[in-house]
Amino acid sequence: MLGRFLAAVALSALIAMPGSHARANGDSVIEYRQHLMRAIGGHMAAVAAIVKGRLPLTEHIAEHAELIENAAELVPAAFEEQVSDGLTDAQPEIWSRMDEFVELNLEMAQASAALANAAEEGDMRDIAMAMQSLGKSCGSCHQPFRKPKEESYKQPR
Amino acid sequence: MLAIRTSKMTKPIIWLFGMSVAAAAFGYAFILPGLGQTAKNVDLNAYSADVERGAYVLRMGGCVVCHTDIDNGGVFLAGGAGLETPFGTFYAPNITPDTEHGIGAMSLEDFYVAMTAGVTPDGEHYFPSFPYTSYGRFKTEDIVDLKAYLDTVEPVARPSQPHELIWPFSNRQFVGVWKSLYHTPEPFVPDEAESASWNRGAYLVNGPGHCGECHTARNLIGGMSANALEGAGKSSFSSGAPAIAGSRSTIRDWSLNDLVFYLQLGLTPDGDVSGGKMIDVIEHGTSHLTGEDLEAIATYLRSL
Repeated sequence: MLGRFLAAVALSALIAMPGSHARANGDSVIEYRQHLMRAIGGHMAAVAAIVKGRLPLTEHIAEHAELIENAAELVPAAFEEQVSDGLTDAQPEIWSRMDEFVELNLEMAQASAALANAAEEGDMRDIAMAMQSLGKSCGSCHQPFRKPKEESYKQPR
Repeated sequence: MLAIRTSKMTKPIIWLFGMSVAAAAFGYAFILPGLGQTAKNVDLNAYSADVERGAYVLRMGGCVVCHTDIDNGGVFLAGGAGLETPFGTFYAPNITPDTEHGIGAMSLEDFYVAMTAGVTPDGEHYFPSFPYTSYGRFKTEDIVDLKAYLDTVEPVARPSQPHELIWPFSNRQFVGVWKSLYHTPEPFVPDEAESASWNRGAYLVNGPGHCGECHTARNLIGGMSANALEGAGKSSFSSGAPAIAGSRSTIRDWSLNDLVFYLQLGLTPDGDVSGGKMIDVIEHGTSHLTGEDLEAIATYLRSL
């Protein structure tokens, strides 16, 4: 009985949240951003697995590339609010150089569109080249705006 | 864990201490250049140079990465961007065949001695930012081919930027002491018990590829630790490049295919991309290598 009451209270608290104008909880912002990035990385890894393993799933590549492009469009809003403290590798420079961040994000979306085109054409060489430029575009944003691996919050201290 | 953590204040004192110990131990006699091997015992004319192979050797050696100012659209091989270290900033020089500003005036013998012994045509020491500690393992024919190729590159009359180093590291004579400690020029010797591919990989990784220069921890005077390729750690004396050998290797779970693919495209198996300097190493170095050579590198690294 008490359990059900507490569950109802918790649920109503959750439901009440989206309507409020309160600042989002920093940890939740980080959690969302990380899952969004992981989703992009997951599609990248899936494409890589198809190419590396010469799987007969070449037609999936275009789909993955489009999903990366769609996810890329969610990135600016996900990083709108500055949350750079906590268990995150986001560099504070994202918010001091937001224009650059958004521009690099746009380039990444274009590179994924290019990969989708190459995949539809079906030439493996072109696909590999498009993957390379998409990878480079990920890196060009990670380089200034993501903490290097050795400084990551994931590293044991 | 073993990373050396020091405040900005104490670092120079530690350097000076390390340097004076080294200097006292080895004495001035060792400071004189010419300790390394010379071209005297090698017949450089025994090989007929192959320019096309030389162009490939350039990629094996990753030369473009440091000798071209990639980020600022610098001219091919006409001198690189700065390499920042605790000892100051090193600038890889112009290696186009311009006779004044490049290496056009260097003979093949000069070039061989530079690559393997780290000694300039004038008999001075090169700073070990030029990785002769690895290039000493270069096969003679590869050096001959590389020189032949470099002679065909468009000469560029661009002065090399001088290094900006902190005293006492700015003194080339100290490099003599350093070399007596950390540079043992010996050619690559294949391990007969291993496959041809493994040996090719070992040669590429430890010789031309000079992977250990970044992927190995360095001490206070820039000498490499015994644990080659086991990562540079977070110490300010090290590059921060991750371990690619040993128990903390970041590529321990990677398949041969994963490694080859990574060295071609810079994409990791988990969908991430390479970071830092490795992006340039892949784009201007490893991605130009044959599948066979990349498999050799992967075979060797996976055995470590």
